Amino acid sequence: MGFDWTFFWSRLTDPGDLYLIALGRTVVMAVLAMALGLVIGVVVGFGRLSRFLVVRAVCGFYIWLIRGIPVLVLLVFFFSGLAAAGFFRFSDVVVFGFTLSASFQAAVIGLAIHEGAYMAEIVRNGIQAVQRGQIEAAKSLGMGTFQLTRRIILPQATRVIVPPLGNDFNHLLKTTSLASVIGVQEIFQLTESMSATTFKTFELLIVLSITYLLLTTIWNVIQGMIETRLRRHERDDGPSGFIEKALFYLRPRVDAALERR
Amino acid sequence: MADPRETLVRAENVRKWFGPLEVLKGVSLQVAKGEVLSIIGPSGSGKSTFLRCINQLETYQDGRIFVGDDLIGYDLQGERLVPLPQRRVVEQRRNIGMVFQQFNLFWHMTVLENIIEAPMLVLGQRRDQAVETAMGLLRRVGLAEKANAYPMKLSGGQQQRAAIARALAMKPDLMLFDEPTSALDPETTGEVLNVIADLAESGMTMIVVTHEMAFARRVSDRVVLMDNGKVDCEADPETFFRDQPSARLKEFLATIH
Repeated sequence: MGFDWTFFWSRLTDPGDLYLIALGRTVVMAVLAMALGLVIGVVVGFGRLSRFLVVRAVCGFYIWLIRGIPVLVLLVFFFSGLAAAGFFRFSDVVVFGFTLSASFQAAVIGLAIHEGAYMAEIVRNGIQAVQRGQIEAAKSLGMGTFQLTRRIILPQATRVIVPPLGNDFNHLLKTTSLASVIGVQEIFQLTESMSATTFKTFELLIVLSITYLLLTTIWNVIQGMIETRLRRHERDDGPSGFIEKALFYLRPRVDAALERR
Repeated sequence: MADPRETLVRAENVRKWFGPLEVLKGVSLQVAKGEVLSIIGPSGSGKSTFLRCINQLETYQDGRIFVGDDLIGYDLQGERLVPLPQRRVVEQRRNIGMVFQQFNLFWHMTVLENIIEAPMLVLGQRRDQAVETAMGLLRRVGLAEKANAYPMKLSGGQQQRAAIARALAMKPDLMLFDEPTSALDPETTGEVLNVIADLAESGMTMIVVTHEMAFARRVSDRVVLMDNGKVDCEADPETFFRDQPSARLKEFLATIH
């Protein structure tokens, strides 16, 4: 009994190649799912505001459906469910010399479809937050629909969209652990299998938690940088110096309290 | 008005409904090239709506509005009004500048970026050329040193002057002002009115919806009272404010004084 400090320190300071590869898998999975989810979110978000009832209805249905199903169920559904019914079976693919396993692909797609539904609502909200006067001004200057969407609506909506999107990504970084269930060798799965052989479950889970904390902390800083840049119209003086910047980016944000789920 | 100048804006019996509510009940007005027309009237009289019909921010449903040779928003097929495709409406707006009560500067762009945006995007001007024009306009409205500031950092009066410069950068034939000083402090109202007065002096054709009676009297060539979706009376400013040629006008001027 007791806490094995030596084991803990050695895992923390020298996690080993296997763990680092798993960590890479976690990050790549999150980034790919986010990118794909963002594409889905933008398309469906605009679709929700379409002039055409059918488009609005289809997009609304997608959001309603996906937001009502647990991610875990979605992942298993995409990996095992579709294959069991004989609809579609993921198989390993080699891209630029990297093997993307079937379970990895299913995880990315499942997470992206899940994220897309939430992002669609965020995007729609961002578009609707653009004031009518801004659009009228653009029209009065002779801009067409495409021009004013690209130059006025999108940049302004982006500033509303980015903070909640950042929170979503933070959430997604941790949600990737669910992919362990369908056999993706990410950090949670690796930790599980290591604790089965070493019985150092407690120490390993703390190392794992610290790893997730590290990921979300790095993301917080990046998100802060993006937001500060997008808010340059509000501030004349950005924080200067490394410490000041780090403190500024790590400060608690109002919108963090509004984090959904 | 015995004016030999060419007519630029001709509105004939313009009618508009918001659902069952008739807001414009047959508005007819003419504005000559270089003329400054002020429209006053109680709120809900349809003056802003009429102004917004001229550049199709609102559509009218009956009557005609001509700006130059263009029939705004419609194609005339026999006596039938056929709505123009969006692309043509967008083209018609290029020659008509508009200044809004709430300024509506693009808040994610600097003042300079606000002004060069449409000339580059819509007219295809080169950046250096657009910047040169913009800086000239900013000097004219007294904001040259604010070129790189974001709108949020400016006072209301400065924002409105920048918005005027932005509209002028498209070199419009006609400028529409929709209560340009209603959202401003009394201190900054003057600086905006001076810019508009300057513009009037320079020969720009303008239609100004305003509550500033002294300004309407000083700057306009003609003043119109709109009431209940119709033109109640129009006259040159001296006659308009001194003789008050209609009962409704007397009543209206009495309520605001």
